[in-house]
Amino acid sequence: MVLELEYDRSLLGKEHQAGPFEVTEELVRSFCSAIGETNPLYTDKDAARKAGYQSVLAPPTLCPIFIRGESIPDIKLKFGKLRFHAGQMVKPLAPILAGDTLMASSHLKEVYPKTGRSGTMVFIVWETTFTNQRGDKVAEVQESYATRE
Amino acid sequence: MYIDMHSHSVSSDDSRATVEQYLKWIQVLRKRGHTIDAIVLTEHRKYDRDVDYTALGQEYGVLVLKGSELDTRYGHFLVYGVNDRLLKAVDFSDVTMDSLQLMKEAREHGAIAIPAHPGRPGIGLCKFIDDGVSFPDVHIAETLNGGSRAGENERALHLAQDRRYQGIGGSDAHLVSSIGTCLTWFKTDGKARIRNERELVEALLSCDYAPVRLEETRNGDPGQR
Amino acid sequence: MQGKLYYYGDVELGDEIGPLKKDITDEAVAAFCKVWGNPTPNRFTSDAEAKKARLPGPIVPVIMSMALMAQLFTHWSPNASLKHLDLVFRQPVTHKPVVIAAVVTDKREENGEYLVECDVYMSNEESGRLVGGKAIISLPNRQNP
Repeated sequence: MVLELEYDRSLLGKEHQAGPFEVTEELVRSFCSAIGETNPLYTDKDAARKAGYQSVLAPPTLCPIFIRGESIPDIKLKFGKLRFHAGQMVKPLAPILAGDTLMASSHLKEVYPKTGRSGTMVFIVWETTFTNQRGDKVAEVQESYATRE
Repeated sequence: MYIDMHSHSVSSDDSRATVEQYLKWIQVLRKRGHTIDAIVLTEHRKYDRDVDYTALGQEYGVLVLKGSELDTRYGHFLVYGVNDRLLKAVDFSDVTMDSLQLMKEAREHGAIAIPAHPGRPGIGLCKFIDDGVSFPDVHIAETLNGGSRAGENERALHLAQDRRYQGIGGSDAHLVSSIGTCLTWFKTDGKARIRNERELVEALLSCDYAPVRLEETRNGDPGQR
Repeated sequence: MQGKLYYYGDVELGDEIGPLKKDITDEAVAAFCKVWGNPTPNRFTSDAEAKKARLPGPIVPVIMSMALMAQLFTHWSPNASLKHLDLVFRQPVTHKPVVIAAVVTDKREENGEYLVECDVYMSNEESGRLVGGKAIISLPNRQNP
């Protein structure tokens, strides 16, 4: 018998808005400090200006920190108790600068079962597009979560 | 012929390699002195029936064959010789399917289903044999898998030696540079080279073959060493 | 910042990038969780919470691992611009030193950009390969820097 997945299928493809998220200099500085990033474009205003930017750039992998529980609804999956982050994709589309304000639009892309070393799992895939205050798309993110018993 | 019997393209949910990128990488390996004649795309829980890689394969001088890797209640199985009759008989997306039934259907429809990475925890045949399940129809197993962790290939080989299974090898590539890391060497001569999926199944049922690592392909045909 | 300036023509299929060694300390993970806004204690900072989730110990957030892996390219060549990073997490990343490396698998000109595609990996001594994926970076072309 095929494994029947029970979850809120009305969420498939439905966009959920979250934000605004402020990209402050302090946020960029703290993010860089936590990961040991020393690229002057992210940490030095003068270096960023010399490179033609109005303020420091945010590292291209910063956006995902804004995707939290409140921006992604619970799909009410009736399977498993443990959930892990199994896959992550980021596609930077335009520079994000300190001072920008971002909005996120997320949708549930797919839910599917598979088996692995941990046994049977169900994967939940979300896609999120970030836009800045001018309405420009600045990043696309895809996240996969694995649920198991 | 050296054939990588187990690989995944972007058609599988967890692979990041296109078929063309695999074929380009094989040119890199060939420049380094290795031999790879063919790959089999064994996509997870599906079979890309309507995709034809013939022209692409000819462009790069690599035979591209198609198969599947299916999730079953007794672990993963590689399926070669997938055809429309088998696709009608078996739901490839069913992760709880009975692999004993799968092997029977494959046999009846001119295909073959072989346990993948039998030494792998959770999804390898060894675990289910230890649990007391009997697999009288298994005669071939994947004893060399490029994605296996420490001990898994050894466990698979031990099982095959115990039960006199023939072994095959495949990279289980999900990324470009993993293609060809493990392969199967088929003893063929100029007339009997494998040219399509049907001949691959025939070769698995009747020929001499052995799993090999990429490094072993530098010296040419193992039968001549 | 270290790193030589590479151009598109300098790179060939099979070239290796890295390795970049990173020590992942408890303090760094805690600092990341603070930036991220993830309340502690959690599976990333607490042994007890990690054990509840049947993990071997506190782990590194996926998005932190991703940020570390992206550094491989900017450390390698400051004029590299990350266009795409797509990772599959095969094993949990614990608070142990890791090695990040890549190999060039493809290169092409696309929409006026000079793109280099790589397989990228994160490994540690204890568990081997933890994370694998694909990165696409753009490099300037010497003719059109």
